[in-house]
Amino acid sequence: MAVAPAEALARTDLAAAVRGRDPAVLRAIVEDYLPQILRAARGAGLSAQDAEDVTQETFTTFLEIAPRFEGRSHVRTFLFGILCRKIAETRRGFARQRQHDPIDDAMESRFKTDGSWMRPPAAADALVRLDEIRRFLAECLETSPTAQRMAFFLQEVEGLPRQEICKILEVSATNLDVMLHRLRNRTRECLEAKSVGGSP
Amino acid sequence: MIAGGLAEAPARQRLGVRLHAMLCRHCRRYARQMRAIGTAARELLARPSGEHESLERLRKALLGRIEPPL
Repeated sequence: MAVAPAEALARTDLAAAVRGRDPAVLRAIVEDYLPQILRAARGAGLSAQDAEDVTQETFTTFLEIAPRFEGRSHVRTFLFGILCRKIAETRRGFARQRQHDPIDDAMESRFKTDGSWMRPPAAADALVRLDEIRRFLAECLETSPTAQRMAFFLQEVEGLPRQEICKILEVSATNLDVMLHRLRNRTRECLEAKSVGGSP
Repeated sequence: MIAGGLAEAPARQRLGVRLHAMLCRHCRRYARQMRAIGTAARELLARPSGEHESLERLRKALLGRIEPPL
């Protein structure tokens, strides 16, 4: 008799069951986390085909290395970690957290040496209206590095705890904040450049 | 910080940023834009299209690798 996924995943000996390749548990993990991993791959900016491929590779790897799952982290964290490593293998620069990002220079250039705005954000009320933002947002998000998009997706869409995101991406809490801030700033700069009209 | 990274800052710093935001329209506009971008990006990334077919293909391929439960 098939075991319901929730019941299989609620086992207190889950890690042992994974290591032992318990079919019911492995099936429950695939059923439960497949949509989330696929969504994350898409959220990181991969095409539909690339996302499907990397998702399959993620779970295939998980099934292969299941005997080595120690249970020190949540299964979800383990899966997302494999996903990020798979993406890093194909996306140059994903794993490398840059000390310097060009967006930092762009933001610096907006301020005088005394800290006051030299080039304040455009008045563009158009920039604030969600309908205007949506027109350009997909294009602007494409300009952000995959790692920053993944960080944003894990926090804002999946709502994962910060500590777990740091573990998945192998970054410190400070680095995570920097990544998220850079993505928002880059997107804001891009949207401002694209937006038309707007009152002075 | 003005864009929302206040939660972990010391209380004195948070107060200073908030007071500044009350006085500086440019910073208020910047914060408003950053929040709007966060909201819109969240909505955009939360609803990719065409997932159903991908999920079905993946489910078939992956579950086929796991022996059926006894």
